[in-house]
Amino acid sequence: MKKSFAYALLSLTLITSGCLGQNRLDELTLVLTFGVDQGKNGEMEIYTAVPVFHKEARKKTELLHTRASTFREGRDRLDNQANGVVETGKVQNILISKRLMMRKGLFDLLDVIYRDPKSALMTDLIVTDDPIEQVMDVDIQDKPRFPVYLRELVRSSHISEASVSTNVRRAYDQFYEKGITPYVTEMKLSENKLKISGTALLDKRGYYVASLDTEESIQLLILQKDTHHPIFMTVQLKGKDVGKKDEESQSISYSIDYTHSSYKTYVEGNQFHFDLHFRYSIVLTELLVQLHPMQDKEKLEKAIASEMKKKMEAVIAKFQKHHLDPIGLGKYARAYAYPQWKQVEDDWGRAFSQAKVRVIPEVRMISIGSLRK
Amino acid sequence: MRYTFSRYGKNLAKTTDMISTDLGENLRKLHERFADAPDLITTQFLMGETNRPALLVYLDGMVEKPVLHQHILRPLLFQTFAYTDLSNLELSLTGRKTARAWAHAEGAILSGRSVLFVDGEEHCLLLDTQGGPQRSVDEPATETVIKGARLSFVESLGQNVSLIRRYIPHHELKIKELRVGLRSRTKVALLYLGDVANLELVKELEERISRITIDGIVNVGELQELIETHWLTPFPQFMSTERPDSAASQILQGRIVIIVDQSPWVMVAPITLTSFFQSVDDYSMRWMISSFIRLLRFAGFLVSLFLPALYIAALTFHYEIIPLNLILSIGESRERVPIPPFMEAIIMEITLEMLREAGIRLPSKIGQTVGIVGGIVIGQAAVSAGIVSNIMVIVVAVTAIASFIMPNTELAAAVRILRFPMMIVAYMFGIVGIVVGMMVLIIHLLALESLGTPYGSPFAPFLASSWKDNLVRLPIWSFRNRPRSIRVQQEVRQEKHDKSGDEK
Repeated sequence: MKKSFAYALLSLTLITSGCLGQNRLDELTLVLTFGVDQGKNGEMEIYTAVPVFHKEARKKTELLHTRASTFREGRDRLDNQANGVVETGKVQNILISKRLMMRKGLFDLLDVIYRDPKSALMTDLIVTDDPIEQVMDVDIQDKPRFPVYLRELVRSSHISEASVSTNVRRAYDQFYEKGITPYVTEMKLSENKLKISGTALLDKRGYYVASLDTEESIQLLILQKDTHHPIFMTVQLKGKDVGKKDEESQSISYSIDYTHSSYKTYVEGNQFHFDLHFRYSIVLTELLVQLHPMQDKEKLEKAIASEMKKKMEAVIAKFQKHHLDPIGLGKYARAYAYPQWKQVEDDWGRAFSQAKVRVIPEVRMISIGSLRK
Repeated sequence: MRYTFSRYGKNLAKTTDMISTDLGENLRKLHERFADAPDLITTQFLMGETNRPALLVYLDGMVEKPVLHQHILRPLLFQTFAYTDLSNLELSLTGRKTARAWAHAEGAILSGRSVLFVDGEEHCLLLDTQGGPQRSVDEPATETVIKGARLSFVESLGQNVSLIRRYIPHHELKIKELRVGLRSRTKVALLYLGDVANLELVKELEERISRITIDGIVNVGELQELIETHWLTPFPQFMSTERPDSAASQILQGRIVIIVDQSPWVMVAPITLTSFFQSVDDYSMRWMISSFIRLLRFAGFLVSLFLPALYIAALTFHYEIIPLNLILSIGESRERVPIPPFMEAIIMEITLEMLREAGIRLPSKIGQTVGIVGGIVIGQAAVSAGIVSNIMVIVVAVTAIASFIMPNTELAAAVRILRFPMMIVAYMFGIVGIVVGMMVLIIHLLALESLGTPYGSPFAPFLASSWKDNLVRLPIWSFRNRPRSIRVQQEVRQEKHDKSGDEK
């Protein structure tokens, strides 16, 4: 009798315990893309892309728009428009306008995401110069749903070295790691098509500072050792001793099949020195100059090396000018010169701008392709 | 009061009356005892030249008629012989006994013997003329294999024993015969290797069987429920098989095989959970393939237990764990479905169970039709009608296939039953519920035992050396010892194997 009463009580608590807080997938408004733009009176314009599953619906993705002072407030306001509970556990990408990034730090924006344990951490961060409303409304009838398309765009451009890729989790790391400054993917709208245009560099507080185009982004990725080989490159050889093949072309294309890099760090007189050694193994893919790839091998290798050195140094100079270190050389400084690092760790960007960075590339041609000359 | 069989026997001897010397009196007694038994045949005749009246009694249909005519009636009627004594009667029949008590005579008649009364004798002669309907040894119906033997047990205990004895013609193959059922007096035989099997287990089993006081059992499943110790579990504590080769292999490993007369299935004890993942075919195929298939069965076990529950949990609580592209296609196919995932899954699983049950009971011709109709029900039609989603159809199909992969139907049935509570906890608590359900299941499996042997062995208690024949199936030469969980007398099964070949 006592036992059966206990069983009855137990089953009652099971049902009434409030654990039945289900979240049925088909009743959710699954936000897949967030877009934030600057609005009037210090408010933000928040746009979201939500997949529509109804067969009758003409558009596969629904755009919702609201105005709020913070991200979270915006989400709550979206509930009034959406035909289901708004859930952000599956957000794929967050689009932030450059104008907003100049006024609000990235990490203050993302605070709500880090605080909520249910939010997705693999969300890609994208900065764009164009108005978010236009970007979100881009014509993609021949493409997958907008969030999926955007995700594929960012991932594939990262693999083909057109841009960095920063998701929410990595942004967290970039923020709290003192030896690096944050960077995110940059995108632009051209002729009503989306295009990855390079990398946006942020300062330590998460404000927008400068941009790299896709060419410069390759250099950044090589410096970060975040590349997917082979890397395809084309350079113009403009030396006097290099004959043109015809009137116009003077370029040479190659793929870097393997990169061996080693960074030497030391301090001399209160200045940080970084010697960046690179050993590239390259394969010639196109040769449009008057050089014989076998006989003039060394000459060719040297010419390519100096071209690459020039490009990389230009990018580094740009970083130093803006007091930025997206490469993460600060981590090397901390590892190899800890006492000196300790003094400058809170403003590494400034210290890095005064550092001496030498790029020492070495090119080795391992194949010239199927032609004999 | 508990009524054991030994006492039963004693009581019989005491209370019964003896056979009379008068034939007419005997006949009267017989008709009294076998009232309302029209199949009792009583033939009165005069024996040969001696002209002594005799009475032959048997049950029609229980005896072998040609034997009766050729070896009993014909010699008694037509041969000339000098009658001295009933026990010296010259008959070309091997099995015969004399009896004085009515109870013995009655038992003999009921078991298919024929009984000969002769006037003036205070004995009767019990003659072995058992016969009756019998089935020939056929191919196994449910436990089909590719490379194994094509024999299966039949309904006669004697024949089943001989089927096993052919595999183990050794004097240590012991057969202990018991009887169960006060009315049915069903013969039960325990087969084991006298110098290998754990005799304590044999004794325990014997005791459990002799404690049964039921009026009768008709098949092996009833005996199983009467001698098991845990009744509140879906898991079988004895393994049944219809294959003599697998029974013989279990005996060789040190286990005990229980044969019940009139049942074409035999039981094996003690067993562990992993025994149900083994099939005879595993040992006739290459070891790598067998190992792969065995791992596949474990995977199938988990899939058929947890997949519908995971589907429900993912769709009602944890949409985050579904990859984006899948969530989009699930969303598209779920959009038309008006019922929640839990109801969807329950409806589909119950439909599947009904189809399976219908398929078993129906004759094969109609069974095919059921299969086709079922394919339509659990198929595209249900999806296009908007009752279930595409993904659910896949989940149900995969679950069904995964449960068919298990070689033992009893374990498959246990999994089928356990699937439903898993689905319920998944609906209420999501993955937390599944994990709790899994923990309860594991605790239950650890607490379970089969004839005093831990059910979870060799995982818990941990016996790493047994993993090579439980989790996977390594080459036969590596199984030097018998399974340790049974605690056999002879651990070593084979000597170290010499693998040198041609290059020697």
